[in-house]
Amino acid sequence: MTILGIDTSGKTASCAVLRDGVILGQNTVYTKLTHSQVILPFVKRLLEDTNLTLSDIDLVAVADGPGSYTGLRIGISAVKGMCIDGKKCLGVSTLEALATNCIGSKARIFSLLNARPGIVYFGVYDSDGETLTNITPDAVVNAEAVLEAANSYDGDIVLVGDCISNIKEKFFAEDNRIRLAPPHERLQLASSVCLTALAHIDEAISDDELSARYLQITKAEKDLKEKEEK
Amino acid sequence: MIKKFLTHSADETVALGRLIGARLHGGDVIAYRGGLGAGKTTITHGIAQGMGLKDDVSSPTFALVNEYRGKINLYHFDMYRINGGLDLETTGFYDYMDSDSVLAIEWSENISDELPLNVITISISRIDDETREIEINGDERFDDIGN
Repeated sequence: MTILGIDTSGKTASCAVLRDGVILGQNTVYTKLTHSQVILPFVKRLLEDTNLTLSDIDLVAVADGPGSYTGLRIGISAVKGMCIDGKKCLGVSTLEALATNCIGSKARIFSLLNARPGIVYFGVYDSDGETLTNITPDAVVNAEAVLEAANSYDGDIVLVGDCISNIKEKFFAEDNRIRLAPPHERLQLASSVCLTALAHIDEAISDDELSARYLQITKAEKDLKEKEEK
Repeated sequence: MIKKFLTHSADETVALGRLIGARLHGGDVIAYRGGLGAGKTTITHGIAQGMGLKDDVSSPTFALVNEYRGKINLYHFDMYRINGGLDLETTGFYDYMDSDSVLAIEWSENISDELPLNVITISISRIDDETREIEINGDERFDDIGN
C-alpha cells in the first residue's frame, strides 16, 4: 500500500509518501500564500526522489479541512487532478492529522488552528500512545472555549497547531499540565496525513466525492437565516 | 483618538496617505468609509508610498484584492460586492490577515461585523471637486501628523 499525502490547509505546504509503514519521503515548507505555485512541483520532486511515478500511488490523502479557504481548495484541486486515472483518494480532518503529529504522547490532544481574530478551529483527541480517539467533533469556537475544555479535564493536555503559543500564554501561562507540541511537530505534516488516512482506509472515495470541509456551516446557516428574515 | 484634516487636491491626499503609511506596521487593518470618488484609492496610493512600496496602486474594484509586496505587504480590498461573513470567507480575506501585512479595505461598511477590534478607520468626505475632509480614527501613532 503506497499513500501520497498532501496538506495545504495552513501556511505550511507539505507532501509525503508512506509505503508499507515507512515514510519514504516528505517535503515541507512554510510558504504562506503561494501553495498553488509550490505544491505540484513539490509532489513531482518527491516522486522523483523516491523513484516513484504517480501510477505507483494507490491512494492520495489530503487534509480537507478545516483551514485556509484558498489553501484547502488548492490541495483538493491538485488531488482531483492526480486521481484523474480513477485512483482513490481520501480526505482527512486537518485537526486529526495535526493530533497525529503527537500520537505517541499518551495525553489529551487539543488541535488548534487560527480561524480569524479570537476564533479557532478546535479538535479534541485522546492518544493511548499508539492510536487516536476523537473526543468532540471538530468545531469553530471562540478561543475561550479552549479554556473551558481544559478546565473540564483532569489529565495532561498537549496543544498542537499554529496558534498554540498565544493560547498557552493567554490561558495557561502558569499551568504545567498544558504542554506545547515541539516545533517539529507543531504544524501540518503530510506524513501525519498519510498515517491518518491509514487509520481511515475504509473511507476511501473517488475524486468527484472529495470536497473541502470548511466547518463554517454554523456561520453560513446564520447568514442564510438572517437573509431570509430580511 | 480622532484626527481631522482638509486636503485641497489629490496630491495633498496622497501626501497625507504617505504620512499615514510611514506610521503603519504589520497586522494593521485600515477600514475606509466614503462613497464613490471620495479618494480611497488615492489615499491608498500615498499609504503604499509611505510604506516604501514601489508599485502603482490601482482600484481593486474588479479584482476584489490587489497585492503589493514589500518588507510589509499591503493588501488592498474592495468589499463593494461582498455581503457578510460567508461571502468574505470566499475572498480568502482571513488568509491575508497576518503579522507582516497591512490590510486596507474599501467599502468596509459591508463587513463591519468581521473587522478586528483595533481597526484604524479613515473616513473621507467630499467637500467639493478638489477638497476632502479626512478623519483618522486610530491610536496615538497618528497624533503628530500635521503638527
